[in-house]
Order: sequence, then structure tokens, then C-alpha cells
Amino acid sequence: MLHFYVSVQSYHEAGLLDGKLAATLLASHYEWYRKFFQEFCQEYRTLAPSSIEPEAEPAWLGSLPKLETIFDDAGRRSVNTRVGG
Amino acid sequence: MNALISRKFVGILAWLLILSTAGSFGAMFIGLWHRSVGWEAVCAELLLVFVLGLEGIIAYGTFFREESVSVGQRRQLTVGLLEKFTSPEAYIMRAETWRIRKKWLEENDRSCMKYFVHTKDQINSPDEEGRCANGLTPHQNLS
Repeated sequence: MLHFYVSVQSYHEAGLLDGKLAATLLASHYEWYRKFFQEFCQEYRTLAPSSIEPEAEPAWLGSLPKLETIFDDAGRRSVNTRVGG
Repeated sequence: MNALISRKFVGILAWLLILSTAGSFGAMFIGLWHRSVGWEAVCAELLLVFVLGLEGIIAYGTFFREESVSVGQRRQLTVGLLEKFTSPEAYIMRAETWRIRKKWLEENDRSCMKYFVHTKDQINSPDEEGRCANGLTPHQNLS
């Protein structure tokens, strides 16, 4: 699941996604996981050894925060009307 | 010549043509400024500028047509991601993530984190967890 959203962010960064359509289709699903993912990343940063190199960090650690900007507009509009998960 | 070198070649050609168009246009004005020339010479120079500019635009367009992804392709890929997310194959992945999320938020159970944080003292074997119907462990489905 984490890497699915990494692929969404990576496709978007590469200019291969329609950002507005992606937000319309996927934002409500992401919204359902948002709090969990945020806490998950925060917990990982707390527990992971500080010696870990940035290159060795999991891809989702950097990608998930960037999804916030992609899903910001359409996501928040539809979050109350759909069930995610 | 492979596709990558071909695109690079077309790109360089486009820039050279556009630069030569601008140069010819500038040279025409310098010529007109310093000495009087006949209208035939001006027409010939304008024709040259027009042809060079047209070739430059065509080459530039070809270059970017090769490079860019169309709107239709972007939409297709976007819808494809939703189809992947809602496919029967992804159902177990979503169900397992749902369970982990529920435990995390409602019971403050953060035990799944141990599979993601590797330390020298902690060996995280996937065999510690039972396999789901798709052959992956719950934390692998989350990942």
C-alpha cells in the first residue's frame, strides 16, 4: 500500500499523471489513510537509527508528504462524501 | 542511430535553425541600417528568414512531440492506477492495511513498526507473521 502511493507520487513528479484527475479519483482513498500514514512516518523517524543514510531510507518516507500537495484541492472537497480504505 | 541520439540531434538542429533565423533577421536590420538596399534584397532576406523559422518550428515541434506525453496518455495512466487500487488483486492488501490502521488508531498498537525498523539486535523475519491469502504477510501488504 505504501509503495502504491509512492508510485502515484513518482508518476506525478515525472509528469505522467493528470494531477486534477488523480486528485479526483484517489484523494478520498488517500485521505482515509492520511492520519495513519503521517503517524507511521513520524514513528519511523523516531525509531529508525539516526545513522541511516538518506539514500537508504524507505521511498515512502519522502514520497508520502509530497502527496499532500497533489491531493490537497480535490481531496478535501470529497473526503466527507466517500468511504475509503 | 538510436532513438535517444536521434531526439538529441533533432533538438540541436531545432535550436540551430531558430538561432540562425534570429541571426538572419538581425543581419537584415543591420544591413538596412548601414546602407540602402533594394526591395528585392529585403524580400529575399525575409523569405530566407521565413523558411529558416518554419524549419526551426517544425524541428522544435518534432523534438517535443517525441519528448512529451499526451493528455490522453496521462489520463489513461491515472485511471489505470485507480483500477489497480480497486482490483480484486489489491483487495487483500487493502484489507490488511485496514486492520493495521484500525489497531494503530484505535488501540495504539504499533507493533507492525518493528518490521520496518531494522537494527543490529532485531532480526525481523517475515515468518513470524502468518501469511495472508495473497501469500504476503500483513506488514508486506502494508508495505
